[in-house]
Amino acid sequence: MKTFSFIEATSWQCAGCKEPLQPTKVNVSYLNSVFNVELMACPQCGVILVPEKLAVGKMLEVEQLLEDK
Amino acid sequence: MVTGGPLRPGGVALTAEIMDICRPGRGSAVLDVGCGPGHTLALLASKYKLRPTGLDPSASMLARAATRAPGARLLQGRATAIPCGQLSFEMVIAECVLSLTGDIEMSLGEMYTVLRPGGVLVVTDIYKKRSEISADLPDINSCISHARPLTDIEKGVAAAGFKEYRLFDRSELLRQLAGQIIFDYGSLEKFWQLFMAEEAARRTCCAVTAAPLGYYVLIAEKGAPYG
Repeated sequence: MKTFSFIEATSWQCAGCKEPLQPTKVNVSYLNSVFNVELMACPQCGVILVPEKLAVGKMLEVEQLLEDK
Repeated sequence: MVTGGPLRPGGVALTAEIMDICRPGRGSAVLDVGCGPGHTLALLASKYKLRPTGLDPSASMLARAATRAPGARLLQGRATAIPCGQLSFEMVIAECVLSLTGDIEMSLGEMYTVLRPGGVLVVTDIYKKRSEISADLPDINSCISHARPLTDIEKGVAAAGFKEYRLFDRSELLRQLAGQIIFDYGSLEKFWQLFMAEEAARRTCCAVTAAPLGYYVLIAEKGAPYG
């Protein structure tokens, strides 16, 4: 029942493989926690596109939570 | 679901981890207090070959549990008045429910009563890291709004009659769940809005972010008589 996704059409393609990126389930490791996230990735070599809204948006929110209080 | 089944820190992976520590004998009678839709009941029956009984006040949860864990015995009732005889179980497990029962001392006493001598109690729940802080939370029956400090839990366990227990701090699982919710729902606020009104969701979200909450696993053993 996920209501949020980072998956969106993108013109990015993998520089090495020249493959268009596809939605892929990946494990993101961050501050000793692992999260399951769906991101756009190269189907051949697995390189992942981290969108800006994840890098500077959601990660900040998660970081604030993961900090020890 | 965000935890691969039940919505609680650690999910069924934590349940399996605890079972691997406790190693209840095959066929042991186990009571799951607040069994909800039956994820733990199914795990106990299929992986560990135990004889699970599920207790929950909600008829709709019990109906879901009956589908998920068809071999389990299911009872409608509350932790403060467990509808089972004394000395009925080798293990009692209460995952993320003790703080919701309304009276943790009475609930722990009931759990002690239904355990056989040598039986094991497993409690996992949210706790408040600093007792002096009271979070600004809406009046909802959530484990967050009723979280108690660990000293209260330990006192309750001792008062119930348990003499020995092990306590594990697993707060990282609470943070992991909160982080995963952000990835799955966009924000904690949007997640809480699935269950409550907008203003209540905002207050809950702020409180969860600001309040020092943790998560514990407690494993206690009911000593043998005269032992």
